[in-house]
Amino acid sequence: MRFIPIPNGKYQISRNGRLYFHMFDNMEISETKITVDEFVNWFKTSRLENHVEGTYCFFNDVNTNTPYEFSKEANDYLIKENKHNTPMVGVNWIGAMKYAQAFGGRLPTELEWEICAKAGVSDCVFPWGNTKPDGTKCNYGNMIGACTQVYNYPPNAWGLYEMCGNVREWCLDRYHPEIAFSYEYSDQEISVPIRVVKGGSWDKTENYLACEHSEGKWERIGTVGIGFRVIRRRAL
Amino acid sequence: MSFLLLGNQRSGTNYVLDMINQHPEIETINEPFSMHLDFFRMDEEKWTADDVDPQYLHQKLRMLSQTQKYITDLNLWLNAPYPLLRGFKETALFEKFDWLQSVVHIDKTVLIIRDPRAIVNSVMKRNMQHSFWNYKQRLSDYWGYSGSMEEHIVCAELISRRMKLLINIHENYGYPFLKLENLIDNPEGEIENLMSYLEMAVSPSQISFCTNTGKETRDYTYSNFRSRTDVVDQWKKMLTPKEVEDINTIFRNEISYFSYEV
Repeated sequence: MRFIPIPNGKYQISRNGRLYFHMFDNMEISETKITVDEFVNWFKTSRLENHVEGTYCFFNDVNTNTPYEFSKEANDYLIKENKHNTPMVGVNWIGAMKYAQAFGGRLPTELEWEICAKAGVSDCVFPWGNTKPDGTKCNYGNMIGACTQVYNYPPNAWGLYEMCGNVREWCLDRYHPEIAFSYEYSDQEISVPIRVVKGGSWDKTENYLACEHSEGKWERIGTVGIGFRVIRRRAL
Repeated sequence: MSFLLLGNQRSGTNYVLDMINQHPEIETINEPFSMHLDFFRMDEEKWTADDVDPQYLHQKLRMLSQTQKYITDLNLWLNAPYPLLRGFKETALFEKFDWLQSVVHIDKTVLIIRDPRAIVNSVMKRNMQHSFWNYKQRLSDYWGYSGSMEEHIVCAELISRRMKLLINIHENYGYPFLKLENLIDNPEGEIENLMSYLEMAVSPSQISFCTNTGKETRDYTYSNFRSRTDVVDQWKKMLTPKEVEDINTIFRNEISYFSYEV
């Protein structure tokens, strides 16, 4: 897992006529979405149990369309061919947080994620700027029909790969349709277990790709269209 | 409010769910039972509302407390205060529908229908009757089937049984059918009807989803991009005349019930 230092400074994001501010101070974020290789290899050393009483706790091993599978013969999780460097999907919010915490980090908040996606430029629509998406910029709209490797498309100006397309990413915030950036900006407690996901995915239309687009997903569910990345404080 | 889309595998349930999900105030989950819980992947035993166990949801789940908790949490999600409409789709649990309705809160149910010959063709084209779908084993284990094991007959026999269950649900509860072919041919009208049933306004994104995905076929298993010809007519080219004749015989009642052309 490679981390990219986030330039220190105060950033702003505009949403529905209101400005939201965030200060980055000695933080770093993973350069790509966490890969299947990274996640599965970590899990094997974690001593956690994933499959309990007929369902999964951290990543979906019931759905056979995931890039990994549990082999009864090997009594272990195996990664399918050519999937090692694709994003870890099927992981639910709880599993994504477990992984991030194991590396001294956490999931980015929605506001942190959006600033990183826009490389700090508040009026940027997509990670590459304001031109329309196409097949050279990211993986979306079933153009390829599956996840691609995490370095397949050009990075944004901060060197972050795939801040849109391929798979959406879990964020730290609880989702509320009327409260933007709830982790930093909500003074009411949101108890509904729905978390923000950002960035669009290989099987979704271009409507989902804009950096400001947010969705809410049940935190318990692990699907083939959602992965994550990790943010943490930089070691001094 | 919450909804359920119920339809056979390869009958366009993903497509309809993704179309509905284009609405900014709707959130959906894809097969929360059969793609996330072991038990419901393989089991095809009939359960009724009388089988609901107040402690374990069902006696067969009594040793699976995490499975019970998952279903209870799913129900909480279905009852969440937002977004305005939450729903899921399933391609299984037809035979457990009465039980399902009793353990999770579902306000509206829509039954997805597609020409059975197109469904059989789509399953066979991808060999999906084998591996984890295991049609042969399901037919023999749960339906006592011991007839021909020709691939097209096995597919048709299982799908026809499930289609009969859908018809039963429709007749018992009056839940509406959505015919995939009608949605392809008249997206605006069908989306209007569907959204009106779900008590929501149509979002322009839902119409443009159907318009855009219908322009070409991107032939991946779960792609939404399919031209009308491929959705509606491909089976006519792919199935042999003998296969069509056999399938027509197995589905004679359903083909007539849904007014498909013979």
